[in-house]
Amino acid sequence: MGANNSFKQLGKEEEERYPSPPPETELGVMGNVRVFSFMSNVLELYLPKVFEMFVSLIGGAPETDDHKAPEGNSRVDGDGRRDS
Amino acid sequence: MTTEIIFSVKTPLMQNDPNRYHSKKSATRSDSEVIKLYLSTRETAYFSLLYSRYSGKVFSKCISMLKDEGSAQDATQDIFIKIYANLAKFSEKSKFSTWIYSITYNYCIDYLRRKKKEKNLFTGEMDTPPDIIEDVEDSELLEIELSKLKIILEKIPVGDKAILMMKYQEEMSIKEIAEALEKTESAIKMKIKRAKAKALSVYRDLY
Repeated sequence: MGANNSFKQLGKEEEERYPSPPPETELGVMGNVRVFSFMSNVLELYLPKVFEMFVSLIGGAPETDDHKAPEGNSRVDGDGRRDS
Repeated sequence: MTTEIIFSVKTPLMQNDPNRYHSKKSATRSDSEVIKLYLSTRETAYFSLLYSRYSGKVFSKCISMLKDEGSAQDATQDIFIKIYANLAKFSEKSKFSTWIYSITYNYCIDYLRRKKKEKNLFTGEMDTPPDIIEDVEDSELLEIELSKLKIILEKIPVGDKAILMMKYQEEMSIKEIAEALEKTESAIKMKIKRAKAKALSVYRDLY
């Protein structure tokens, strides 16, 4: 687009006339951003725990080291003996 | 207080230099570097840096489209929240500035559509059937005197104004405009053709 572009000149003129929005706008934006960020952090931190709690409430047991499934194809019988 | 505790836990870098986004190093970082840093650290200071880079431009475009400072402030706030919510979807197919401006114009068109309760803010097919639309050279439009161009842009439908600004002010490609306005490329080509013809006919009527 050639050197004579009145649209570009218009854009520059408007940017010079309104260089930035008032500080309240930034406060509003950053306030919302912090709230969303906080909520996503809370979800990230606590959602797995809530899920585990839900599992235990419906009768399941969360997977711990003691309850982990044995490696390989072997199974553990009722007396805790490994059946390979 | 709780938020501060969580942020300090999640963002240990913040403790070293809370104002580092104002530092020389951050100021010279490209937009895409800042976005990557923001997405990897979730540090709000990086988003604040993007805000400081683009808020003025977004605000001036909103005033130009909406013609009201109060509405432009609200629009700027909503647009940046939209940008924040969709930042992970920014695919770097286009420049970050182009992506922001497409959100801005799209928002302003939607806002005016809702406010005026009009479905179509562009010059319609009934106004100028395709076979009689005049082919206008870009140079004819670009070389119109600035003061006259301002008046012309106020006289044409706001959708036409937006599409001409996207094309000639932001230099967006047809594909980018089509993606921004969720239209096909051929529909956009036709809208640009109609908008150019409308602008030139207003110019001829007035001058």
